[in-house]
Amino acid sequence: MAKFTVVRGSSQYRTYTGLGFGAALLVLVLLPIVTSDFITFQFTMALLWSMGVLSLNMLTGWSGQISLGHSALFGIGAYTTVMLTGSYGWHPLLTVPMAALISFLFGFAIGVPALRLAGLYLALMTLAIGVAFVPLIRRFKEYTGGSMGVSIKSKVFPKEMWGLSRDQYLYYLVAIAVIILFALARNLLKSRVGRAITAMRDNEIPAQTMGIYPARYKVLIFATSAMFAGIAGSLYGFVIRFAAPYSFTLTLAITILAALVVGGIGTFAGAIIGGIFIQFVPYYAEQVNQGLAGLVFGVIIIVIMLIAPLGFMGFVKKMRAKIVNVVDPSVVRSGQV
Amino acid sequence: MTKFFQLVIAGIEIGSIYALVALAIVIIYASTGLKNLAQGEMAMFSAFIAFQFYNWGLGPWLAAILAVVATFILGMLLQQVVLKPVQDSSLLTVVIVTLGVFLALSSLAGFIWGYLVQAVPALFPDSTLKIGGVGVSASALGVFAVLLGLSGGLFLLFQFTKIGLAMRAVAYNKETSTLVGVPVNRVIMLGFGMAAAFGAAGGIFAAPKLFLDPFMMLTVLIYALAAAAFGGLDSPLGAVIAGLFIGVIENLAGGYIGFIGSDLKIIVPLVLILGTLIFRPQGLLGKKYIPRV
Repeated sequence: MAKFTVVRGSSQYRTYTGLGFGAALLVLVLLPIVTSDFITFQFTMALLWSMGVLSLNMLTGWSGQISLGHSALFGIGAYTTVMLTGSYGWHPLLTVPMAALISFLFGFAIGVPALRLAGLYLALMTLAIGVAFVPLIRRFKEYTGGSMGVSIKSKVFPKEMWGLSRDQYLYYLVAIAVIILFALARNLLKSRVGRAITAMRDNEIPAQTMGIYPARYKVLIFATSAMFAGIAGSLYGFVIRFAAPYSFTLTLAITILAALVVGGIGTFAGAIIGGIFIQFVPYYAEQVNQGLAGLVFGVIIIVIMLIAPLGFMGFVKKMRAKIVNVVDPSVVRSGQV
Repeated sequence: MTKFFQLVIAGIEIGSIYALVALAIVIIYASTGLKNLAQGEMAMFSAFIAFQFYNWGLGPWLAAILAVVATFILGMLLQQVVLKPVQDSSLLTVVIVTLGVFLALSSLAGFIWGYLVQAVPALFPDSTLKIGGVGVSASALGVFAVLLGLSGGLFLLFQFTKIGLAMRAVAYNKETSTLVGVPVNRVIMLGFGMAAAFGAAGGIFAAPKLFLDPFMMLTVLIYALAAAAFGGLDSPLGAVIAGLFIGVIENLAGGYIGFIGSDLKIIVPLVLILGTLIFRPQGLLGKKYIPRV
């Protein structure tokens, strides 16, 4: 097959990536119009999971840390929205910044002690938080409704609005949030902050010698990741209009991690693939047996980590490399092409 | 005072279970630097294996011993097939793979045995010994004795046998051990099998107390990880002491602090992990780690 070369950042490169984004956007906009409400709802959920996967990806992919408490952070977002709307009569849209703030502060509070030591201990602490979330919610049942959970009355979200059905307008709302969050994450991670975080991930001590102060960036990325998880949870509260402790167990945290591995750690498109994976694989697997979804996830994580640690996006890049050859401008300048 | 001692006894019983699982984690960590987050689920799976043997008509003790032996073999198999390829990879890879094992085992147990809570036969008679007004149940004594026996055996194995020497050598330095002719891979495999067996003992003794379901060991895992961190990740003695300590503290906190009650006991390991991280990151008896570039 004839290979052709594209220089990164050239107008030709921009045209191709622009076309790619345009096509993705077109699919995103047209999806609820061409499919049924039921399928639209499923994709809304997939987008919600994508945000959750993105939040973990910021932490794991770019800073190399791991969190098993993201189920709890997701749950905090969901509870914030459902409780404020359902029990205190807030406008649902106002609860999103509130959920973002609460989960950010929570992430900050976890991040500070976890700074003391690297990865392993953060995994340990967040694991404990992930497990403690359900008993904590049950303990304060005066506010959280205990095991029964809390809900939003359906009149808060009318069956139709702006000529769209509930499933459709919720989909567009979530889609807009996804675009905003992905754009924010991309800008943050391609900036000075992102480079500092990646440098720390690759080797902390040399990064320090270059003037990067690890404590500040570690807390920052953890709190930001927590905030993204909280926003995803908040929108989950919107869509499901219900929050119960058993939706946010450790299994959710591991499932998000699995989706991240499947989609491709450290890629944005991988987060979307991962979200779709979470939504559709269990849906079919659980029709066979309740335990099958987890079994499939577990085995897939292991197999991918053993044979293709870059996940689906790694595969896509490999395929792409067979057709086009993307090179950096510096390579062209040095006359190697 | 009776209440105090009663809580301490109950704490020692559950603490022995934490200590067994923590020992399993420490054995693996010391020899491979790998923290096995799936240790609790492996133990849960062993408890189900014992349950299955029992249902096939074997006596409870025979079923338990067979399950421990089966787990020893399964543990070695798991290490060879799944963990050996990643044991020198980055921490992130290892954590993700052990979580994969975690999820797969917990779901497989649900797949095979279902999610209903199963009652498991007790391994010790349902009798209590009265010592100065404090009731000591046979199971508390029994589990504690098993912990002492197993950890004592481990100590003897480490200190006085050739295999133990090889294991200590591998834990100390893999490359040098290879140079002096220690079959490193086989030693690690054996260590993994032993750890799995220790965990299995923990799971099997926990089953009659906590009731058997696929999520039985989830909280035990947190306590055991806290014990391993608190005692020092590379110190088996630390794991035993810390496991017992956590069991006792957890029970006392639940019994005396009304706010905590039985729901919020899980806060105890969390606070302990936090405290360890802040004041003594290497744990009670662990070796200090100095990073090098």
